[in-house]
Amino acid sequence: MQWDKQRIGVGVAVLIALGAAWWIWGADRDARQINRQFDQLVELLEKRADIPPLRMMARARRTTEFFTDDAEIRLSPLVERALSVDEIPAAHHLVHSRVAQLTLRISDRHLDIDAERQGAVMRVTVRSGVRTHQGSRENRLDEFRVQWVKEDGTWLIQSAEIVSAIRAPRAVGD
Amino acid sequence: MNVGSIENTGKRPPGKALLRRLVIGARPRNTIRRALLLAGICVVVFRFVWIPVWVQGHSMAPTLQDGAFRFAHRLGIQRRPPQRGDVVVIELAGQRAMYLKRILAVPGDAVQFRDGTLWVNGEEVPEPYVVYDGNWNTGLEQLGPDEFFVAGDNRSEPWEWHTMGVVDRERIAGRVGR
Repeated sequence: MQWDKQRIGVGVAVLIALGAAWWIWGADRDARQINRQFDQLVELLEKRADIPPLRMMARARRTTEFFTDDAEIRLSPLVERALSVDEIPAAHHLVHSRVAQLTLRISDRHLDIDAERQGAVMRVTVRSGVRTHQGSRENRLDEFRVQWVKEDGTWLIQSAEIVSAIRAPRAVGD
Repeated sequence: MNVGSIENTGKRPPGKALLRRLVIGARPRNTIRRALLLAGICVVVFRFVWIPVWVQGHSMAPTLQDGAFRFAHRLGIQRRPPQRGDVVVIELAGQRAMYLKRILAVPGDAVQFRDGTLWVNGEEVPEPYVVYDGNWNTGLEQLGPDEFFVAGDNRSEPWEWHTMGVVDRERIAGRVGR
């Protein structure tokens, strides 16, 4: 009887351990991959110091690896029209050549992966800080909505847009 | 030959024992229980009752300066709806970084700026908290049932550069104490 109790106890412990392992390494694998992809993209978008032009171009080209071919990026009110994937390297190069420093900090991050685990929506708060070559600084706080899809086992961004928590008022005459 | 001797009396040096008693207490198990309880209370209070707010930026100057520290009352905003003049925190994707703004108009109001002056429902509204004024001109904004109009107190830069305008009620996370 005593031996049976011990066996049941060990069985329950093993089940709990297996459940925990599945939760950590199995179920959460998608979330970890998405978060890692996003962190890598943020690192590429940042500009901590001046880098040689060729390296800057290589970094700009690498940013497209995180997006699907038909991805759309909406950065209104910063950029009025939607950007396609092909336009990302040019936009990246333009911004990086115009600023001395660009830092991005993620303050909040929420990720919802759909039941089929083929799509996910991420909501993030991004604090961006820009220092121009003249030395002036500007900070922004934005919420982004990033839609992810799984293509051939890799999570890619299908769309990214700024969500306006505060909607600017109409201009006079609008 | 006297080579000296070390006697183990089982007593700790008085300084160390006092420090241990002050840090861990006479009953470590009770101390751990109290620490866990205190941590739990802190998590609940600072997440659901009082949100600590560290001001960064000059949007609310001079009322709230860069680096100022305040608490935003989360429960208070549930009990009493936001009112004109309240300073509130506005959520984005979470509560680690939020906007800090003043409510200028409430649901149902018609609001606009004319030559830097605030007009609500056709009446000029005095704003004694504005020290750094500007020459803002915006179109008339008719607020819906759950919409509030917010702006910072610092109006020294053009309104197009300033984060201000209409916010949904659900985004308002707490009222900032004076």
